[in-house]
This record gives sequence, C-alpha cells and structure tokens, in this order.
Amino acid sequence: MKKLMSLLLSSALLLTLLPACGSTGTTPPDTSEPTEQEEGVTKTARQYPDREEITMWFWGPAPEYQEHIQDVLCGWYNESQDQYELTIEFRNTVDVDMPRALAAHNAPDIVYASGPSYTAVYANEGLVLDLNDYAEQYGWKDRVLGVMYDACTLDGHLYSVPGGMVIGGILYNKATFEEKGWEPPTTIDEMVAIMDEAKAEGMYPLAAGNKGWKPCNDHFSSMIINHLGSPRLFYDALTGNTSFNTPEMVQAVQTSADWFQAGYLAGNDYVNLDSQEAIQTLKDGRSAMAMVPTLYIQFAAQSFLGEEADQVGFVPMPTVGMDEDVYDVSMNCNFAINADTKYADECAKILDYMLTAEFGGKMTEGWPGYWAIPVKDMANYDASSMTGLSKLTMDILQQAIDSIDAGYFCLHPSSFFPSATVTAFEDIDTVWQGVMTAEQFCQTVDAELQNDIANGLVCPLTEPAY
Amino acid sequence: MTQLPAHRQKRVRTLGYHLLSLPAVVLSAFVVLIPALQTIYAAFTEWNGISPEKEWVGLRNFQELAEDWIFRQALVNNIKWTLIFVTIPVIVAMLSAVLIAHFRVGHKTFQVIYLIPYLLAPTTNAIIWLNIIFSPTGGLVGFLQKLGWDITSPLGNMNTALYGVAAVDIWHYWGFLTVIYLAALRQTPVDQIKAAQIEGASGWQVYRYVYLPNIAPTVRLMFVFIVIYSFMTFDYIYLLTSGGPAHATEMLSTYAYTTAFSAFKFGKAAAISLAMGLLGSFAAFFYTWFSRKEALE
Repeated sequence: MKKLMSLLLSSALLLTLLPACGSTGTTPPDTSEPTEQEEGVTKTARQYPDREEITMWFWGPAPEYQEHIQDVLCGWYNESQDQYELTIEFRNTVDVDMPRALAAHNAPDIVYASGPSYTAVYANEGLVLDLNDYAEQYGWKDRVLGVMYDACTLDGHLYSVPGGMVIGGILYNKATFEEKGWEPPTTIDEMVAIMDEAKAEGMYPLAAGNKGWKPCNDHFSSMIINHLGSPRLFYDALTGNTSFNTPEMVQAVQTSADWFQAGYLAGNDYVNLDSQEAIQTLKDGRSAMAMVPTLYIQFAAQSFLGEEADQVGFVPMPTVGMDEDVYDVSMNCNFAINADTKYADECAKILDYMLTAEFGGKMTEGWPGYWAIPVKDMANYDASSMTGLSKLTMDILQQAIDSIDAGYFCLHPSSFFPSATVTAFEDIDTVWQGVMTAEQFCQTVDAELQNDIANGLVCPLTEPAY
Repeated sequence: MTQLPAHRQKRVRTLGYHLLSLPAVVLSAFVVLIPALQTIYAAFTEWNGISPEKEWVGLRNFQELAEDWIFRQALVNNIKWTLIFVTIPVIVAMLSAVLIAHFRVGHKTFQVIYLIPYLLAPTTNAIIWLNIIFSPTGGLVGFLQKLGWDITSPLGNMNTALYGVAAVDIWHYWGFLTVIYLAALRQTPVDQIKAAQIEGASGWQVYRYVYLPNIAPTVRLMFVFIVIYSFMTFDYIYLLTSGGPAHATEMLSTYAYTTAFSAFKFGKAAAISLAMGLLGSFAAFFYTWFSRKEALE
C-alpha cells in the first residue's frame, strides 16, 4: 500500500513536469497549430517554407486574438505575393525581449513597441529605420491623425507608425443602469452622484484595478488629471511651457488620491483586480461604471458574451469647465522597421496596410477595442454589418475621430511621456496610499521629465485646439 | 620503469586536478565572471541597455541610491524577508521533519506531498493563490465576501502585502526544507539515539543533545542559502504584486528590474544589483569562514 501510494504520487509529480518537456520532441509541428517554443512564446509553424521569412513580434493576447491577427495581417500579406512570408511570434515579455534583441542585432524585421517612448530610445541608437521616405511614398502624414503621427517622430523624422488608438471614456452596463434608474453621466457631478450611490449600495463605484500590470495606474490617473484638472496640463509640462509641479498639477494629482481614498477606484480591491476581473465586475453588476480607455473593450468581449455585448454602453468622460467632448488619447502599440532588415520595402508595405481603414475594420470585427486605427478614413468606414462590441468600438472611434482631428484631445502618459518619466509617473499610487504627498510626487516626476527633455527624449506634440 | 621523484609525482597529480577542473572554471568565467565584471563596470556608468557606449559617471548611481527612498524601502523589505525566512519556514520545517522522522510508515508519502508545491512552477503557484485564494471575484476571498465576511486580500493592504507574498513563498518552500532536514535527521547514528533514550533523556533532550549537533552543518548550510536567496528573491514578488502596492513589497531585485526594463536606466539597475550581490555575499563569506574555522577545530 505504501509503495503504491508513493508510486501514485511520484507519477502525479512526473505528470506536472511533463508539459515543460513537451516542446523538446522531434515530431514535426503541424502547420496549422501554434507551437510553444519556450515559455511565454508562441509561433505558428511556417506555411510557405520555400519563401523568405519576414518576422514580427507581438505581445501575447488571448489565442483567438492571435489567430485573428494572423488571419487578417499574415493572410492578406502572404496571399498578396509569392516571394515572402510574414510570420508573427507572440511573446509575453516582448517589451523586455525587444531592446535586448535589437542591441544584439537579432530582432525581428518589424519592431513592436508599447508606445513611442520605446521607439525613441531605439531611434536614438540607430536601431530602427527613418521612415520619412516611406511616409512620403505612401502619404502617411495626410492619412494619420496628427497627434498620433507626431508622437512617432523625433527631430522631424518618422521612426514608427501607430497601431491602435485608445480613447478614454466611460463604459457602463446598460442593464445595471436601467435597474438602478441611472442615466449616463454628462457632468462630473452626475458621475460622482452615481458613484456615491453605488458605493452606498456596496458596489464598486468604478471597475478598476492594477493587478499584474502596474502601468494600469496611468489609465485611471490620466483620466482624472485630464478631465478634473485640465486637459492641457500634460501638454504644457511635456513641451516645457510649465514644470510638472505646478499648483494645478499638484491639485489634480491630489484629486486622483481623493478619488482613490474615497473608494471610487474599486474600493479596497484596486490591487486585487486585473483588467479582465474589473470588467467582469461590470458585467456582474458589482460595479457602476468603468472609467477606462477603449482598450478595455477587448476584456469586455471575454465577459459580455453573445447578445450580452449589446448591454455595454459608452459615454465620453465629462471635463470640468468645458462643454466640448475632449478625449484622452494614447496608442496601445506602434511599429518600426529594424535597421538591420533586408526587407525594408516589404516591411513598409505591411505597415502601410496596417494604416488602412480596411485593416482596422477587419481587425475590429474579430478583436474589438484594440485596433481603432488612427486614420482619418475610419470616419467613413462602413460598419453597418458589425454588431456588439465591434460595432461599439467603431461607433466610439467614428464619434471621436473628428473631434480628435480638430484638436480636442488630451495626452495619456504611457504614450507621450518618455520612459523614465512614465516609470516615475506610474508611482502615483504612492500618493493614493499616503506614502508621498502630491507635491513630493510631482517634484519627483518633474526631475525625471526635465532630464528627459534635456536628453531630447520627448516626442514632438500636436498642440490641442482649446 | 623508473619512478618519478615524489615532488614530481605530486606536481603531475596537481596538474591533473587543475586540468579536470578547467572546464568548470572556463564555464564559470563565461557565464558568471564576465557578466559579473560587466555589471560592476555598468554600475559606474550611465547606460540605456541598448547603446554600445556607456558614459562613465563614477559614483553618481550610488549617490542617487543613497537618496532614493524606494531603494531604502526595498532594502528594508529584503531584510524583513530574510528575517521571516530564517525563522518561520525553518521552525515549521524542523517541527514537521522531527515529527515525520518518528513515523514508522508513511514518511515517504509525506515527503512527496510536501515537495509538490516546490516542484510546481512559481507561475503556477502564483496563479493558484491569486485566482483561487485571493481573488475578490472568483477566489476564496470573493466567496467569503459573498457570505458576508468582512475580508479582503492581504495583497491589497500596505501593511499586510509583504506578509501575504511571504506566506505564499513559505507555502512553496517549507516542504523542501522539511525534506532536507528529514534527510539530515535520518543520518543521526541510531546508537547515539538509543544510548540517550536508555539514559532516560526526554524527547526534547534527545533532539537538543543528539539530533541537533548531528544536523547542525545542514542547518547552517540551509541558513546561508536562505539568506542568499532572500536577497535575490524575485519571482513570487513579481508575480503576485510586482512590488506594489506603492512599493510596499518592493525588493532590490524587482526594483533593479523596473529600473532597467521600464526606465531604461541600466547603470542604476546595475548599482542596485551590485548592492544586492554584496549583501548576499556576506552570508556566503560568513559560511565559508565558519566552515573553515570548524574544520580547523
């Protein structure tokens, strides 16, 4: 009996270890199934091994999203010609892997980045190509929204193109609002009244959380500072018109702390909820609203299934002292071309396709929320056949795009702050938790920002219209 | 056949030893020594981790660290972590090892059960705790909240987050310590134990005067390893809290990681790593010194 028990337990242990050994077999991979080469890396086996390979890395989204981008992007490119094959490798640690790979001259042809602050570093080291000639050839400057295009330049040279644009606003569950008798807020006072009522009923006033991804702090703090402070605060600080520690900025940071301490940001559970769980609380009626970028619609797609997707509503975030809608904008990713690539022209052709309304529309159909491509043509894209969250994404984009193009936007830290500054800014939870004062925090961020400005790491910024 | 003189025989034998150890020395030089020297050099430079050029800045990175409250917080957390790990898991593991050592049947089964958390990948353990225990939506905490309990995850509170992460790491680690202590206990000569029992020694006296002196080298070795690992701890912190909330669980390793890969300040990150390595080295030097002293005695 003793031996049998030991044998059973040993077998169980062995089984837990087997998955780690699964990729070392010699069986040739199935051409249609993803293959796990190392932990956190997924790449589909090549379908055209006789062609020259153009490589691209991306972060590791849900498997159905991986499949969708392969179908839309690789499918289009690989069928458009018979000499090259585009392959995508999904890496959970792409932001860490990419700079190391570039430094070792072993990076993919198309360089993914989680925002222009990363590509600014690569561009300064000459690791990615100057895209000005391609921009002129394909007419990218006229096609792309100015605020997004400018953020991808340094000293007048374009070094990357934007992926999806992210627009801040309020997501809400129509069923919850109907049940509670609430109307979508059009002013901050109305929003606070709903949050107070939700809090009194034991709900989370706002679905929010940073579990597993500290940069989520940006999402909520940016919305509060931009819409309750002033939408120009970040622009003025980044352009050097003001320092980062002006009384207005300190007050806006303090307001974000006040909201956190009032329990508006998911009560005591802010650090216990990841983005998916936060949206799940919206679905379950445990949260009143979600003050988030449209990026979160991709999480809603995992919670609001089938016809439930029609329950998700969106309203722009109200702004104190302004009647016009102003949108907190950022880009969820951007793409550059490796300076070492042998296929620069082909890479540019792929990037050009990624800057079309056709690509944005097709991607949004299968991956809502992420691929709101910031090209002016998106305003005219026929989305009548779309439903659910894909339709919602397109509606938001088409509602906001003219305002953003006209200059009614405000800047989101993760896309427009240089790396060291944004890392310091992500520490805003130290103010929320009472570890630092708002003044101390703003002084710390200002020190990093002045250093980054002096080193030329702040990208050129389009001036807002207000 | 003439025999080599004694001194030449010794020299040939010594050369053989050196040749046999050469592969390990070369390997260590490439994977340990060269990167270590590069890290030491980088600590005195400003470097973004990508550029082939590093700008020499002397002691500036260390001066910055001396004024950096996050670094001090991380250092204090590392010291707290070390104190937690040289006490709680050691006591729990020692108690369970002594208990199991007296089992006539079933001790192997217990050893295997205790080792399971240690053999699972840290990501697996972290996901189990985050999603099945601590999650307010689908975990035990959420379930208890629905039942009306006023309970939240310890990871969300500035005062308890460090202990929450430590609890998970201890859960994964104590079984391994138990197995090590048990193996050492079982090496204790039976005649010494029997003699003590015949003399009328109590259970505590047998442990204190027979078992403990016999397992002391193992306990000391594990103590040193725990101290070294405590200053290098990274995985559970990164997976469970990423150093948050508001740096409440920040460790030198997680701070070095963020400084390097988020802020692109590899010079400063190297300085943090150097401080981390020096603190861990104290434990290694202490162990070496103590072992040599003991051998001489």
